[in-house]
Amino acid sequence: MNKKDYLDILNAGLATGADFAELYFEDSKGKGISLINGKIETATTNETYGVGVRLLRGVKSVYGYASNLSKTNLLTLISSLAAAFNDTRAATVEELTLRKNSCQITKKVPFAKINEKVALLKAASEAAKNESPLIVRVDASINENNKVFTIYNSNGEIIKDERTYIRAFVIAMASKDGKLEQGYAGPGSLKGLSFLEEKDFVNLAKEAARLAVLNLDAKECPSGVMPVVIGNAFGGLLFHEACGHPLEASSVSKGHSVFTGKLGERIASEVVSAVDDATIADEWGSYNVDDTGMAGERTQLIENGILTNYLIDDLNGRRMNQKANGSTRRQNFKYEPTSRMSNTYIDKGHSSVSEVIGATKLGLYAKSLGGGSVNPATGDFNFSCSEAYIIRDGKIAELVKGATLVGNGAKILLDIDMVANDLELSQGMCGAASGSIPVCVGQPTLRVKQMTVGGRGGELK
Amino acid sequence: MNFKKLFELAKASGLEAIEITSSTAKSTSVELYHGEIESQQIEEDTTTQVRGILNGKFGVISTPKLETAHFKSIINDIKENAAVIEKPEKAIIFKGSPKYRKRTFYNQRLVDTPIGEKIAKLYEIEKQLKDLDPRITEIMSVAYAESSFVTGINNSYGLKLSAKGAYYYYSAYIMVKENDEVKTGGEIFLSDDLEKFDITDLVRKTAEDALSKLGGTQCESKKYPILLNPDSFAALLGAFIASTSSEEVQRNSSALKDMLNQEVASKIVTIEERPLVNNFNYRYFDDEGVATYNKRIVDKGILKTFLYNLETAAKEGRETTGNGYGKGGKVGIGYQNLYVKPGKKTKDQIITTIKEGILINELQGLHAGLDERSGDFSLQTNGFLIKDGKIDRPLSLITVAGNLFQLMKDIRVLSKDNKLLLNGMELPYALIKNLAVSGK
Repeated sequence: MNKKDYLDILNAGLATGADFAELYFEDSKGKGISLINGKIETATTNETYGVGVRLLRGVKSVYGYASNLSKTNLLTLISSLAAAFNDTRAATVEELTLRKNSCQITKKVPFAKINEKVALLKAASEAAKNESPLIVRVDASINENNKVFTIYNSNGEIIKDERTYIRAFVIAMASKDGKLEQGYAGPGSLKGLSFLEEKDFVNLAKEAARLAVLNLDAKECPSGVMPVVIGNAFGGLLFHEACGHPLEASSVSKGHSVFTGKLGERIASEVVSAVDDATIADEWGSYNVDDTGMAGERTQLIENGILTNYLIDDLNGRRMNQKANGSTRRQNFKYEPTSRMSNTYIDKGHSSVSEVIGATKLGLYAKSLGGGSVNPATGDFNFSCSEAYIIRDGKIAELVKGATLVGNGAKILLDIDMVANDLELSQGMCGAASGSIPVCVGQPTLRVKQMTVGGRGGELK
Repeated sequence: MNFKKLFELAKASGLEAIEITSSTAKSTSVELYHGEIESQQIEEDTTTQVRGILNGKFGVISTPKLETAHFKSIINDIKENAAVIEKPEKAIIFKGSPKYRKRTFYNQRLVDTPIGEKIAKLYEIEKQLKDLDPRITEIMSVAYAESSFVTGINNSYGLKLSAKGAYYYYSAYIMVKENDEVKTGGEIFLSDDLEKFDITDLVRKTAEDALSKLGGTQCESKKYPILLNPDSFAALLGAFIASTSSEEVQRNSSALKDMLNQEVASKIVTIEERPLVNNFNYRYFDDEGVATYNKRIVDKGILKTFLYNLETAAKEGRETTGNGYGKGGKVGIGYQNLYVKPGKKTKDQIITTIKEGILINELQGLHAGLDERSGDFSLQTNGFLIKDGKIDRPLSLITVAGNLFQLMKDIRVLSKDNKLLLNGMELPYALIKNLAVSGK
């Protein structure tokens, strides 16, 4: 197809009153390789190829997609979408011009050689296995995805972008007396295979094995209400789920978020500042342009406890009368894009880690979290801990397992009373309405005055 | 589609055999918000996976690009991927089962009914919800979605199977408010027959789900008898059945590995896989092209079989159970339509027998709060305190903790009333002896 064909399709979409039309062509390729107990188990290629078609009229949207990219098929698709509006033409697009990406956070990285990936996986697997005779199974994998897309929209823009994600996983399982426990690591980046060497993936695998073995002898976590110190890096998952999602315009704009209408108000204690930053070089959640072609931004969400901004996509921005801020994302062409996080973290504070732990007489140190979920309307959340200790008299004491953190996002932000200075980010996949996308969570070590902890170990004494 | 050229190219490139599994789905969905259609989607989704065997190992690619011009690249990727595989098992592409129980449950009327008629019901749902109760402060979404799909398998041995299906669902989500407390709730109705849809029933269940959560408090931390509703029972049962996967058993990572023909659940528990029943999940062949059949996995508490695909069956020199399912390059173990045999008492009759206990409506955080291997779980729940045989009050922000394998043995009663869920499971309520609950 040539420019005229794209213009014809966009204009067909605008024929019944839509004020904006967009074609999102994707031609991405991914490669995955996985190993179990030292032997390569699967090697796969995964191609994502198709177009997402979006029409907006005021605060209404229609969306469709297809993998048959003939002009006839696309004209049929866009016309059946346009049939949802029954007005007269409100806009026409005359010309399409290629826009230069406004910032260059990410570069194209070629796929790593398959033999280099095999070697790294084997080294990591062996290191984990050698950590202890109690290690019964090691799973490891490397996934790369070269995401390539071109957007044509009725603002007359053509926007192209390309980025290559790489992520490695290792899960080590330890067994003793019929009990099984596991440890895990999953670093990711936009930098290619060299990132995994810098991060010392082999050592991360060893650490995962060490944690699995430690957990075998861990006692069940006690339950009750107690002060909780949450560890840095992946501890930020709690902020991501309980506060990040309710700051997305998709729930804010309709009043479905606890933070709707709270701009300029105190929503967190003074020690809390939070940022969403899509512009960190090579970071897992970064991008040059978002999935509507808008440049990624650094957005201050909370400053010293005051709510300063939301994450706003183009459609919900219309409902809120606020401009989009480079956070409209989608997994691939099959998803209508909406407001999502990029690299989202609580900024570093002034205490040291030892001060935070030292100030806690009896409580829980949730060093790393396993996963969790939140209801964005109410803010109620729950998280499991993958590594947790009891704090006694200001010192880290015994390891415990099966700990769950239960609470409410809006309340917990006000209950954070100490924030340390050891900010670190951690990579993950975030699933929501527009699919599963790469994001970073992060935070320094911090303390929540009191929180409900679930576990099977009885009362904390 | 004609794959003759691809088969020829594969043969010429030294591949022993290849197999193409594909599914094409056409879907439409419409969402209503504040009396207007807020979004509408039209989707044509094609996924195709091509597996080829080189030197006894599988190479895999998944791609929607099935044009002749792309065939060479497909074969190259298959060869590159197959070349690094080291697992000792020989790759198998299936030549075919002697008999397939093919039936067609495809409901053409669902697809032919004009979208306007389907959308009209959305306005009616919204209106009824609005008029129902002043505490319903926001109708977050009322939606309709339908999908029709064709799944097929073709291989270079000449096996060619395909199946067609369709389903739709209506859903409603609302926000309710009383004093300063906000709760959300919703309901989904799923079927392949438009005549089975009852607007009033969906409205009533949506409202009930949200309103019943208002005024929730925590309860005293201790052990309580627990009545699981079908949704929360399903969440736990899914993890239990995952342990019957022969793949996990052969890798020594299933807690049920030495339990064949032994007691793994209470005597009243019978669990069946029923791929051949008439519902939207009906499948007469699995993702390897093997004929499926209905089977008892657990019979009166005794574990009768593990679930096998071609590879795990070959390892034990036995037949597959037709449970080879998978996406993304690997055929693992899966199942269709899990069914737990119901009991004699209704849910309400069971409640009258409970002096003090908890009815659980929702289990959250399963992906993290449950360790499938050890069976230990600690999960956030919402539910109701039962006192002296009656629902006493709603509970919120409580956690229940226990062990899945013990829980299956501690099932005391199963209800007569059961529910068909989105994932194809059809389950009753289950009364569990007790679980540790942490509240205040």
